[in-house]
Amino acid sequence: MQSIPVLKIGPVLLVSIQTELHDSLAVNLQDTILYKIRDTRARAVLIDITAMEIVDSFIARILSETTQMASVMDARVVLVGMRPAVTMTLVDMGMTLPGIDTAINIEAGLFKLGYELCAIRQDGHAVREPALMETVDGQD
Amino acid sequence: MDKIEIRDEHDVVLARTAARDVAGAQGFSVMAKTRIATAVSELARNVFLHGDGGYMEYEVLREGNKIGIHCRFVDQGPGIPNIEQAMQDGFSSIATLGHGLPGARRLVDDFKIHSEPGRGVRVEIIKWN
Ligand SMILES: Nc1ncnc2c1ncn2[C@@H]1O[C@H](COP(=O)(O)OP(=O)(O)OP(=O)(O)O)[C@@H](O)[C@H]1O
Ligand SMILES: [Mg+2]
Repeated sequence: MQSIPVLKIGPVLLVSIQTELHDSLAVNLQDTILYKIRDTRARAVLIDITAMEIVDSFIARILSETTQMASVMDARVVLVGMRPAVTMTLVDMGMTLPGIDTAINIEAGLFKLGYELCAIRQDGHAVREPALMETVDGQD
Repeated sequence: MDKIEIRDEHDVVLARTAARDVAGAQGFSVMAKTRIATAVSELARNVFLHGDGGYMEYEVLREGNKIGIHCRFVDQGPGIPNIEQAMQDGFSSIATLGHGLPGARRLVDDFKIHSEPGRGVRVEIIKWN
């Protein structure tokens, strides 16, 4: 069975979709991500879709469901590298991706999560206040 | 016309990558290529999910210096009793989003759907570059 690797880098899971996503592969990926969030207590997931030329309503729905379920498990999903043509096509179709956070590349995605990653080192909880970053940095 | 049988989810991938590759080979813009391939993905999925499988036929069209792609989706499934309802945003008989048909229509230049209950569905689309 084909599967897509989910890598763990500290508190972040990194998934890069490099293959054509057929429907059950998409569903499997969703399961894998959610189990791995549970097992590793990851706080964030970066899903890199730079290589995806086609995102239809099925795949869009899986991505948006995954984001919602992850957020119930207190993990934040950032979708990375969505091509402009893909974005416009989804808009044309009337699909919105409610609650989905995006970034242009993996680096920007990690940056977006930066505050939380810093804070996790301090007390094991994600905090969002930028002001806390200084405290954390100061203690290093 | 070239033909792709649509029996399962792998065939949906075959259909949409075929549309993408033909559009690419014919020099379609990235936007037009993405739109036609995405529309094909929606319609091919409906063929296997709702129509008990069927096929897609496709060909390149030339009119003057315009180039287009014409695709036809045929299945012999249960058909669609109320096409007007099925074409509405958010209508779905399987509790999904129901964006497939209305979404695909907005992505192409020409969209025709025909169904006789009990005798399947036939959808024809044309996308010009
Ligand atoms: N080939 C088909 N044969 C029979 N019924 C169909 C066919 N295509 C569509 N339908 C009917 O039309 C409805 C709307 O189709 P549409 O593709 O818009 O939404 P969906 O497939 O239910 O959900 P989505 O495509 O958003 O995942 C379907 O729920 C189904 O009842
Ligand atoms: Mg559909």
